[in-house]
Amino acid sequence: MTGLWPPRSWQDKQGVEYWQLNEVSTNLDFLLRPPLCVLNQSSSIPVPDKGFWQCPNWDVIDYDSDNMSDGGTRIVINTPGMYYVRFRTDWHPNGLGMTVNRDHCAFNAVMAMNRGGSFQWGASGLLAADVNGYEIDDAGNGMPNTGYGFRNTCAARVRLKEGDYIETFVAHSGGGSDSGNITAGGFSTSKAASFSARWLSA
Amino acid sequence: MATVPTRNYWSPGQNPTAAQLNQFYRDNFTWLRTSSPICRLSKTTVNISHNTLTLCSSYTEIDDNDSMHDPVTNPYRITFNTPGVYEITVRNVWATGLSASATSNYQWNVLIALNNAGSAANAVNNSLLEDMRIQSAIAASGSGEHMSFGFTDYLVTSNGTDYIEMWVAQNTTGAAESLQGNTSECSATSLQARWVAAI
Repeated sequence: MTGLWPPRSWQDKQGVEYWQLNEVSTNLDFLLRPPLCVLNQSSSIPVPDKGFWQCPNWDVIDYDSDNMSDGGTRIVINTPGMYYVRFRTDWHPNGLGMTVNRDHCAFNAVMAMNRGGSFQWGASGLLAADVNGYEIDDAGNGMPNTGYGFRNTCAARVRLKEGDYIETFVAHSGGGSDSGNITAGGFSTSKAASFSARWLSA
Repeated sequence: MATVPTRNYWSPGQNPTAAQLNQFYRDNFTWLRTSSPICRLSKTTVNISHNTLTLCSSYTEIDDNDSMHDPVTNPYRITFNTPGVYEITVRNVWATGLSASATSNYQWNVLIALNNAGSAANAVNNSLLEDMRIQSAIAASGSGEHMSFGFTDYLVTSNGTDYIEMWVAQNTTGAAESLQGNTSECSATSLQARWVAAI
């Protein structure tokens, strides 16, 4: 979807044709439904201990006014412009299988563009990152007494061109053992895990 | 409920009237600029009990152009009366009595729940939109420390029947912790929702 940019100029003594009014209608439509994509997840996913892991299943399209979701891992830009992009994880210590039994563990979230499904620190395309560190003993103390999950949130304002795409990656060091065994973990099934891109300006 | 503007496309030979031009262009651009739904609430200082998930209420309305907040009926809610995509903004400041020597894993939570019907049990399940947390390893750098957290631009769609609530909790030493705020636009604790797109 594109609005008409730049808008046409009117000339003196020029009649107003129907298609000229339709161009104004198109621009009004664009302002009412600007490129905006909000994605959630239908199910939790296991996240291995250590190493960046691409979030694979942004399969719930809450809103997509510009065919930006690829149905899986990416938000694809179809209309150039300045965008606000945001990624929020929702780690659950209880009820979804995560076992955190390492002291001083960290949870990361990364948003990157045009990465082709892989990411590591130092790679190009990094848009935003967030880390939360927790002191948790082997008995699980330090987990919320109420059982609430915890999260990473990262966001960026970035100029993007048609064809650019954004992907999300997560990592944690909370599981298994110091030998790096795989541990279960994941995202909730609520709207708390979200991935969005919102057009701000041309 | 506000009325989202209706657009119109014209056919060859069709001559729009002045009333139509006013409706589809003048009034619609005016709606976008001045009338799209927004609700901004501020909250005054309140003590939050230890280990008690607490539903926030007693807000002061700063803006509410679409009857999204009712101070009498369900005063703890912002209700989306007009279909659309909404941007939610939360700001939150706690004043803690913890000393610098506090080393236990105390924490402070703020949760935003969707269609939660005032139920604490549901606030941690699928109604959860946001769960913000600070732990004492970060926060307790001095006695009487003030710490803030918030988020902006959480986007959620609504068909015009949904609502959000703000819940808070803390698990410190057993004493109440103070959630800071006042009745002004610049309150340290606030909850806002703004319409940003039609659906």
